[in-house]
Amino acid sequence: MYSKELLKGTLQTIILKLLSENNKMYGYEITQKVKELSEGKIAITEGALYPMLHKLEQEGLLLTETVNIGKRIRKYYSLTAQGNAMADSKVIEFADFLNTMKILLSLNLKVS
Amino acid sequence: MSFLKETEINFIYTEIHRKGLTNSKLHPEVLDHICCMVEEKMHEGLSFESAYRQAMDTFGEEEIKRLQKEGRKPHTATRRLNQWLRIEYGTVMGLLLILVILSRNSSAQAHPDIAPFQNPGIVYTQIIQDIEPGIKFEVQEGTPVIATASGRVEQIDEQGLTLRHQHDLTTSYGHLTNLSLKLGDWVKKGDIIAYVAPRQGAKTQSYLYYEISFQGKKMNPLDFFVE
Repeated sequence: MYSKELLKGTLQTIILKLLSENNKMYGYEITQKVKELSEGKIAITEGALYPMLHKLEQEGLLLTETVNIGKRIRKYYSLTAQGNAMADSKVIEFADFLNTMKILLSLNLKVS
Repeated sequence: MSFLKETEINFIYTEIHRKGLTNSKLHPEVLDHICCMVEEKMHEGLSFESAYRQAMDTFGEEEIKRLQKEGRKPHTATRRLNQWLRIEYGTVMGLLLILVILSRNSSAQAHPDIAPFQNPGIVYTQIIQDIEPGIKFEVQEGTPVIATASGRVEQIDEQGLTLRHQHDLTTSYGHLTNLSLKLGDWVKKGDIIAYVAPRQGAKTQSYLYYEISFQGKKMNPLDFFVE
């Protein structure tokens, strides 16, 4: 498990990327998928996930669709066109960030 | 996957309500989430009771409280600002505090805490929150636009300008006309810097685009206004 500090700022990118590859997903499905793909190293907490989903929805990046499952209501999220574009740019930005971190952490940075 | 019975769903519904999640917007989603967790554990062979207990151990009452608290917050922009301040740039909090203190004294002039109009109460009709944290003020063309804080012109073209203020703050104004300032000019808080440009298409309303940045990062201007 990674520290909270490390994961902060990654949640939005993770959600957008997942949704860009899956037509629509609901909250629980997202947490399970992330758990599975990260081999349990990244656990998204519900207290962070739902507020983030609602924020992205409000910003026009996500669309929602509710489906009644018996007595339950399941809310599915999917990307808007804007959300798709944002997913792309977030992924590119993050990949670039990873590269920079790699440089920062691998070189001898001592100023001679 | 085993599906929960109606009585079991009702039980979970009552329980999360009792634990403090009363927010109607979140409730259905959280209910579904916990039901999924319980179902998964029941699928592994647990009884409903043990599955529910385990799910709640994982989900935790803290999460419910956190969700409820999140749901109550007034709007996401403020939440974003708060998160930004609290978590990622904790030290900025201190700086802003200093800003507030300073703005009460001599450098009130340097803090962009007013709307960019002489009479905001009458002039603007709508505020649209964009993806960018800047805001649009839908106002009549020709409305005078004022500097929200004292500063120097850092960037200027035919349609807009950016002012640099103290404390690494900048304000940007877009969709302007009749700009008479020059690069490097000093303006005082409240000075007229230009006028709102005419609308561009038949369908759009004329508007002013307004942005505040702190240390190069865009902030929500609404959070700066003194109510």
